[in-house]
Amino acid sequence: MNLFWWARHLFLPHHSNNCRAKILHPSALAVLVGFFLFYQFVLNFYLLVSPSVLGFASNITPEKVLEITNQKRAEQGLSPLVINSQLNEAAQRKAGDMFAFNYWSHVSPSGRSPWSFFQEVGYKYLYAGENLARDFMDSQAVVEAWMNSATHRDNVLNRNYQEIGLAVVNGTLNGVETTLVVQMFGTPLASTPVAPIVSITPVQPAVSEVAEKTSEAAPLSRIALAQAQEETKSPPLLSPFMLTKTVAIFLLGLILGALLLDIILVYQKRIIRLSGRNIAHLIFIGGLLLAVILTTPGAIL
Amino acid sequence: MKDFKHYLSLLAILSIGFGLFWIFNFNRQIQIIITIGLGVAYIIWGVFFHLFRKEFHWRILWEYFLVAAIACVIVIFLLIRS
Repeated sequence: MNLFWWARHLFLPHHSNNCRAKILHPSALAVLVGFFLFYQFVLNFYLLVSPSVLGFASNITPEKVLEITNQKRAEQGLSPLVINSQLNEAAQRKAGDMFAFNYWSHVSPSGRSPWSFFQEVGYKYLYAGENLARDFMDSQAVVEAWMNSATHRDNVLNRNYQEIGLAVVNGTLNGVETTLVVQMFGTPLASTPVAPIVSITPVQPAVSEVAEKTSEAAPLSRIALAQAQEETKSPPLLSPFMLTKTVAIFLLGLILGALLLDIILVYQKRIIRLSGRNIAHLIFIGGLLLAVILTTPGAIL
Repeated sequence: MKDFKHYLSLLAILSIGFGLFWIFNFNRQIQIIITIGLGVAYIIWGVFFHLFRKEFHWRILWEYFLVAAIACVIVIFLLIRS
């Protein structure tokens, strides 16, 4: 039994494999599922023992995120948001808190809401909101992802907001080197001639309204933006996403190729057998392969 | 092609699934639920297809389950990693 025999046994219908490519047999599919799960287990183990090797390398800067955000607002005829050093500090603290307590959420595991960070830095607000993103490759992709989500777009295009704070911070989240982007929106209490609102609904990343009696608009600062930018690094790392995607495309491509060969040869040789429909498998696997190819890294919240 | 309408229904199921997958892009939790839903829908489609053709066998159900499982496991882990 040489290599040729094994290749034919695995990928072509033949009497040695009961007239169906061995790789399409349920037993072989089960082995492939097991192999992929084992591969993910190895990847997780590697992340635990060597967390600095795997991660996402990104090219996101707070300045660029601000520029694109204001560009999107300008397209809708809205006034640009201006950087506020207190909001920058709040965004930095939020990112630091997510890394310190290892969570990816608007509310921390201990129940700490985004609004506590506003209060912590002394930003008295009439309106406030928060957008989060992680593991995107560049600033444009981050803002586009927010614009494609109704709740996040509402924050970006909210006419009530006047100021913004940004943090782009690298760190380790769940064992993976990650780039977090925190965008905090606000309107200082004193700046708007509107009576204070007394309801608190700060759960979703959409607009939240709170009551604060005193007003204290913080000075605008470009220095704070530069400080936030200093935190941005581009670690030269292997991405677990790309490693998974490569193996995923290889495995699905292998099955798809075997299915195509099987369809052609079964039709030519007029083989009759009891099995699932290859055309159906081809459509299903092909569709999910397309989904895999189109999936890009990054998540928003 | 006598099975054309069956394949058309499969294409419709997958199109709805991929449409939702696209709409909820970057919302990983919902995308994972959609992927699992697509896998389950595929198995159900396979069962009904072979029942209609009066050629259903437990081995076939097992095959559809494994095809759905490998595709879904791969996509779910990719979404988790992204």
